[in-house]
Amino acid sequence: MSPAISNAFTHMNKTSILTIENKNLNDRENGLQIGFTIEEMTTRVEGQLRSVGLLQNFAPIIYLIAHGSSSANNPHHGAHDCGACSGRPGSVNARVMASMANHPIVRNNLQNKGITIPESTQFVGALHDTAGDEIEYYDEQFLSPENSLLHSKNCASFEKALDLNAKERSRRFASIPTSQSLKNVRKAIKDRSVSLFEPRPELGHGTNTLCIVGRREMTKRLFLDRRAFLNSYDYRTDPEGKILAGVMRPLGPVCGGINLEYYFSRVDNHKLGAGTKLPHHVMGLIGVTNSCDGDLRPGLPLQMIEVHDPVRLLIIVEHFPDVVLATIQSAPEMYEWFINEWVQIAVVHPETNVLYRFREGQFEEYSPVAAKIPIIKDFKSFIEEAQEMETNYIADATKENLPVYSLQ
Amino acid sequence: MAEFLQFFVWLPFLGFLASLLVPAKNEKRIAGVVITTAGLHLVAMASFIVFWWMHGAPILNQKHITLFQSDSIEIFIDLYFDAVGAVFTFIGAAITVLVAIFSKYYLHRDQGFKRYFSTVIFFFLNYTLLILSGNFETLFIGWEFLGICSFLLISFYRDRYLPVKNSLKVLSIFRIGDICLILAMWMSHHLWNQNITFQQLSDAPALALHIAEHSGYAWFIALTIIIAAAVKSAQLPFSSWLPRAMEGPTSSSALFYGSLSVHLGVFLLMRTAPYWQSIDYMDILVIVIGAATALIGASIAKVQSSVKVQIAYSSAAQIGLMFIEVALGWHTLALVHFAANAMLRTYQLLVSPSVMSYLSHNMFFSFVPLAKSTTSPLAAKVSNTLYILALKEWNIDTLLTKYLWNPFKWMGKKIAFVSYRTTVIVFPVLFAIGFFFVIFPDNIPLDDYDVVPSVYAVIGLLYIIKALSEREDALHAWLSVIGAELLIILSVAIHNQDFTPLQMLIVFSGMIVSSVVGYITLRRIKAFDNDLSLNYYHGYSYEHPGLAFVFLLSCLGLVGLPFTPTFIGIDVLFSHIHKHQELQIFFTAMSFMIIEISVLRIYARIFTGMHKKSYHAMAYRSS
Repeated sequence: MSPAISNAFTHMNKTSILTIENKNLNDRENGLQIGFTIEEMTTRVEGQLRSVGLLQNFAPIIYLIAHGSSSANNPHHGAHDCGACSGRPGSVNARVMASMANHPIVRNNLQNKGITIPESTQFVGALHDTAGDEIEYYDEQFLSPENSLLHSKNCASFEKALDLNAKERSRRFASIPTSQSLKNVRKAIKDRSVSLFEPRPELGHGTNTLCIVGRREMTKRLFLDRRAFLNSYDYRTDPEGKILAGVMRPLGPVCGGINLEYYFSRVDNHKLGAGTKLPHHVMGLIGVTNSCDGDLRPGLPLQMIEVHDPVRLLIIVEHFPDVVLATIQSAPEMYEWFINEWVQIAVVHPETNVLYRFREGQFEEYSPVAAKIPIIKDFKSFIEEAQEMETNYIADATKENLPVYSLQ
Repeated sequence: MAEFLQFFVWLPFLGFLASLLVPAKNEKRIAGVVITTAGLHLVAMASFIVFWWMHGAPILNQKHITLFQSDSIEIFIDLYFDAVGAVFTFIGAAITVLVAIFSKYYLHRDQGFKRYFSTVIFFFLNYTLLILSGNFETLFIGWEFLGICSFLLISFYRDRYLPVKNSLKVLSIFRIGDICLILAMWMSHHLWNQNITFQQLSDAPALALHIAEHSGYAWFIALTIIIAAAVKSAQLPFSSWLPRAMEGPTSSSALFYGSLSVHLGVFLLMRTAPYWQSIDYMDILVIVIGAATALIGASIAKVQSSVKVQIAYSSAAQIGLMFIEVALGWHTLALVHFAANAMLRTYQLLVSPSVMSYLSHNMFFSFVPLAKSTTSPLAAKVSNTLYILALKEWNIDTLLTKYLWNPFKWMGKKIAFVSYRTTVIVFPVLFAIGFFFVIFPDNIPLDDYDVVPSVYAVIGLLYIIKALSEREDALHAWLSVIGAELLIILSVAIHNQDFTPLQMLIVFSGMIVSSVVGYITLRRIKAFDNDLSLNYYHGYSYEHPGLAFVFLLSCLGLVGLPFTPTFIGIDVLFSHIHKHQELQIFFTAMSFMIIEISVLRIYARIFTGMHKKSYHAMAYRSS
């Protein structure tokens, strides 16, 4: 592959061996500890499991899927990769996390803390290339024979999901006819992601509007047009909202940060965004400018934000309003996101299903404008016939963005 | 076989017309027209070259259309084809097709999609015409339009400040090359008493006699050709325009400044090599220019922070080597070098955004910090000095501004005390006196008849400088330019019976339409806001792209670009300035050098830049 292409999977060689466990605290490199001690591993795995509410009913295989992005000829590549991994693919993190959760001593420690993971359950790290729509799994060779069998079945399901995901994404790309066969759509999506002449290898987080924190039953069979961050969280495991604080703390900086980045780049692409990327000069490997004597450009380029509706993120939490209010007020650096309205927040009462909207420091009951959610009868034709933008002027481009539908 | 050549000019011309007819929204068809045209051109050219080769690769020369004929002068279109032309057209067509295909996807949904593709095919038309040209007049048509295409593509993002500023800067340097070619044509008219073709130029023995008789004039022609080549190929001391031209979409930078446009200086040198090589010291001059650019360009390329600027200077450095090769007579090597450099730079520019990926993104596992080197203080001092010099591009840009353009600004300030009103009032008087002398040349009250024409040439120049330094009202500047042109025509007509009224009319014909249309357009713009100040940018192309286009056409018509008869007229006009009238040719050449800059400055200020109304998106001045 040409050096001009950054492939998400080349970030970490699938067959490489990682030093994950720290057996001796004196193992250091450049003053930093190599690997994690057993205690550190236990803390991390426990925190992860508790935050998503996965404490019982463990499946035989649990996938930890990181994301990364392949692209070519794209100085804004880092904006498509994982922000939490310094703008690189998250494959190393996923693989390390899976390996920690599979560690027998960690499992033992977790049992002492009240989380019993059956011995037959195994964790698998993977990487989803969000531009090319492909998944690579790591350390599959450690799977037990039964789990290997299950894994190959799951892989087929993942493939099907990738197919449908590719189809859904393709409606945004003028170069890919959505109605062609799934195989062709997948191929076109993959080719497009690493084309030298393609300034839109993927649309990344463009169109993001929602962040839903709750059980996945809440969003089951809902069509969200790929516009929502979905955080798994089970209020039943956390009646006092202790875990919720940990879940919500990163929402502002991560989801809110992403949202505002797109928001401002869209609102004034000339001043707050980077403008069109076509004339960009890469300057000193630290940024882009428009010409040899221009200033560095902040924000996102036009090609990344043209489909985006500039609206602030709406976070919806499934929990009791008083618990959520106490949670967001528990830390000033978290609360400022909400009280300053940098993001919006609403709560779904888990027992009554009543909505509460956060305004001026408290939750008020809110009744939605739309009385009914329209239903999609045939998903295939729905996606194929959805309106395409005529031009990328803001008034045309955002007509492509669809409201929430219910899938039959 | 030679009559086939015109086909290669007509084909892109038809493609250009077709591209204009497609509605701007139909991206597929616009790109399709351009790719098909360039693709057909490539296939036809390849077949033609094979056919031509099988017939022994003869040198083809065909006189096509005579545009103008009088006793003393004949202006005609002439096409010429040899190995140099074969290589340049073939590589040109190949790169244009590839870049057009690339751009089809790259420019998708860009608001200037159609503008881009029409300019690219127009560029290709003029490139082909230039390469296939058989005399200076034909070459000059392509040469002038290429300059305009460059101007349009550099200021492609015309709602930002820097592209607009840099497009004018590049154009102003190109004008030096243009005027050198005009002077070369002018002098060769007088030297040979005819419009010499490149075929005649390559007939060294016949030339030798002439050159021996008029060595000073022959030397002048060679020098102007070499300067024109150095300007177009970004050689020293003109190199600094090349990185500043990298303002348009990456693909247009690749096509123009990576590959085709920037090699045209080499082409011009190769085309005229038999001539200038027969004149003493000229090959040494070319070698010195080439070697200096190779060394200094390479040093600059090593330290620049922008990847496109690095590529620009490395390309200029390689072209410096090509200059040396041409001067040493290694033409085949120069052709190979051209093909390789054009292909490599096009590729490098097209993938230049990837530099992030292979130099930074993939450093994750393989980063090795630079080792600290220990050198002697003197060596460190030398290398640091070189580093800073190269980082500042050896101050080429500053020096050019200081010694080339600041004198005009200075003059503009010096004559600022003459108000616009005065120039308007004085003009009829000046014109009437001049006109009187044209009709009754015997009444000139001086012994030396040449003084009066020179004085009129100076006044014409001052009117243009007035237009160039005008800040109040674009209409003033526009009228000053028209006045200047009239005075220049008068200056040639005075005491020159050969310059017939018919010929004056030819000069005038395109001008008069352009000046009226331009005037009306400016009036219409003035009606919006009653503001045509040239102190800042108005950006009217944002809301009135149609008016902007009409005004651009009238600017080009007014300065005699080869789509009106004025172009022929200007050529005729120059031929009437005799070679002993050094002062008059000097001032007239000066005028023609800055006239285009002064009208395009009006266009730039009124129609480009960010739109003055803040209800539109506005970019910072630093972008």
